[in-house]
Amino acid sequence: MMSNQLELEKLMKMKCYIMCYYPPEIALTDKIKTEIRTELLRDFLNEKIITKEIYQRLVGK
Amino acid sequence: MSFKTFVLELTQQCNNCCLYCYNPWRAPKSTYPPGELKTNEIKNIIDKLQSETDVNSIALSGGEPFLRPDIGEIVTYIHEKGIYPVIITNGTLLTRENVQVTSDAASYEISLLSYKKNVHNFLAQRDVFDQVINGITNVAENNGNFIAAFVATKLNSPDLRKTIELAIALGAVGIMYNRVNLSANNIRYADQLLPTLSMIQENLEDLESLSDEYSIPVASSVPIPPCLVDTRKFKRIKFSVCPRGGEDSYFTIDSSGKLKMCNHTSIILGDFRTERFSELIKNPYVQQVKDTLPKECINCSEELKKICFGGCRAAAQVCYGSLDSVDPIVNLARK
Repeated sequence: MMSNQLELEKLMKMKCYIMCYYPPEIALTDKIKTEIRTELLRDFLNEKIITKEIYQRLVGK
Repeated sequence: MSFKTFVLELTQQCNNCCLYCYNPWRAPKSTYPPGELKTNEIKNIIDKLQSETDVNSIALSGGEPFLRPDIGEIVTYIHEKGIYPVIITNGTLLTRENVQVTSDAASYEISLLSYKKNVHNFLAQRDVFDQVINGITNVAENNGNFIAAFVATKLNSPDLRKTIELAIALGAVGIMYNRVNLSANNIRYADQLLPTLSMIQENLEDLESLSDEYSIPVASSVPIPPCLVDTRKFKRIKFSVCPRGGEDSYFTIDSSGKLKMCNHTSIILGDFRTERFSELIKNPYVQQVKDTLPKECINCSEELKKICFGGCRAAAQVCYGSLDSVDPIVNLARK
């Protein structure tokens, strides 16, 4: 029960965060940017412009 | 008038030797006064700026500001005063520790000159490309805001598109495009450095489309005279003009506490430590900059005169020794 309550609060907070402080269109832009950035990083890794270590640090793997 | 943005040159020292550097103390046979302030003297300057102006942002520059061991203390001091600290750096000293101690910085403006290691290194005159990429990654990992500064020269202009994409991949939140600004130091390399007008035109077209494609803001800080390239058609790029002492000015305090109209000029208005800002800007040179229209611009259209007023006034003064002349890019790029 306690756990569910915490989950609900977390969800409410998250919803509030998304709805009130972080406009959804910006979130969408950020999401696209993250994907594009990862794709760009992969290209630069393949061309040996950045190292595997830099790639991994930036994509969080 | 309300002045909100200031540049604070923390040191004249630099670990790079960039071909395009415009700092007046780097000029051959320079007589620009040397000097470096202690931490408490810098804090006094910040206090004085806050009491005498409407400052809300201070850009820390140099030289290379990370050569000062107290950079973190200065950034935190500015931040705690409710002022945005911005760090302008060549990116070579952005170690994890240096990034950590400057976490209060609103942004880091880092020079990324090319995606090609050899081109970046040649312009910086040091083998530093990998250090810069590592430094930018340290900023990204620390959730810092990275602005990529691209200084456009004949050597790297063809690399612009891919360099900006590299910056975006590394987490850039904004792009600063500066065509090389001629000075008493770099004018000896003008033939090698000055991009052609078609290069600048192509760069701006690429920036316009990159800004659209990636939703990334682009600013062009060093003035591009509209008689050379019609900047009005680039709607997404924010172009700056020489503020000539007006409200958008970024008055600069050099490494020994002297006030200048901007970070490009070599003309000192006086000692900011001992004189009030409001008195220093009454210096006749400020009025001269406001009033002197270069002779080459007299027949220009009124509309363009209003936008431009002869390009960078400091570049004319440091290269030709006179405000009566136009920005040297106008004469040299047309050749």
